[in-house]
Amino acid sequence: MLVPMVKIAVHVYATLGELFKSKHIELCTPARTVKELIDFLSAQYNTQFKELLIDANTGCVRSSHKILVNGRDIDFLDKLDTRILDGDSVAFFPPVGGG
Amino acid sequence: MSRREIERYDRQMMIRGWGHEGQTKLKLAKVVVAGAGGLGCPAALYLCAAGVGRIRIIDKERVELSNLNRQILHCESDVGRNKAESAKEKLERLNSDAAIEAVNVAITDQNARELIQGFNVVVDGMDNFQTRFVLNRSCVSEDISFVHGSIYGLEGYMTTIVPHKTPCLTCIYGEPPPEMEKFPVVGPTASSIACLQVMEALKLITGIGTPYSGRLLFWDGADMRFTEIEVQRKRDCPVCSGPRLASNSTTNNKVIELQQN
Repeated sequence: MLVPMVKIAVHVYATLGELFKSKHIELCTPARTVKELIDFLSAQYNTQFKELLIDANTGCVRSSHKILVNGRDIDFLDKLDTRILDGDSVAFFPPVGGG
Repeated sequence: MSRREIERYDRQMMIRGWGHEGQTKLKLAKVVVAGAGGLGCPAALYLCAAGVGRIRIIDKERVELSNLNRQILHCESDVGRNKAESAKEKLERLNSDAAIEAVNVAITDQNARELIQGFNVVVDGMDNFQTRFVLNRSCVSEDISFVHGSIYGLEGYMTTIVPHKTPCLTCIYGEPPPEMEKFPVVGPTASSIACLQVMEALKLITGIGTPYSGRLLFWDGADMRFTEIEVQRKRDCPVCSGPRLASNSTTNNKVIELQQN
């Protein structure tokens, strides 16, 4: 059976963006949740992506990193279980310490 | 205010809601600029130009050649000099009415509260999270507004923390994230974020507008795009969820009192 794919826009900023060739990526993915998308991006592009985003002890997003789906922080949606639909935009913001 | 001051600040006093009252508040205001680096230099410069009466600039580092692409208060001849001293000299040249104080120390958990006591606003010009978190804790205990900024490459963040009213740095980031010793950056990134921070400081002092709180601003210079990230106070925040320590909080509100009268 064919896995249905969704076409989404992914934006990865600052230090996270450097793991990718471009910080704006349009892609087709079978991922249906933010968690699945992180797994997908890690497998397809760079395994460090997941390591930097997810606290291995808790399995949750590190509190210093923000993830927005269509401009809304997943902390106020369903966190890693937030659904991803065709046409969505998902943005990843790591903390930066420079001054 | 003297005639000279009225002439000097004429263009900003023309701004609606500013006038003599706003300018007097700035003259009476005391602002700490924590760090005389990429953020601290332009922040101190604009605060000083706007007529903030007293600026304390804190930095223990010495100027290096690789700082000069963005740390605009330092010149080639300052390489090797203490950054706070170098900044003070330029700021005094810009505005002889301002009381500029250079503090050549490292900000630590032990000295932070003392360093900011009696000031109205602290502007974050640090280059590491550890010290930002120290300042955050001290600003919360001293009840002093803290304008956070941080930068990387062509990107940066900014938010305003009003203790016990809005999310603090710990509410926003949790634990201090891992540090980077060296980071890419260009002057306009530092200046863009620093200018947003100064706008916030001036607003807090004059009472004009609304502080940028409960939101973390992300600025992407490459695409020239601003993203607003909602942040909330954490009920169990180890820094700001406890009762307000009122003992030292009177000085900070002087400016606000002036605004209400």
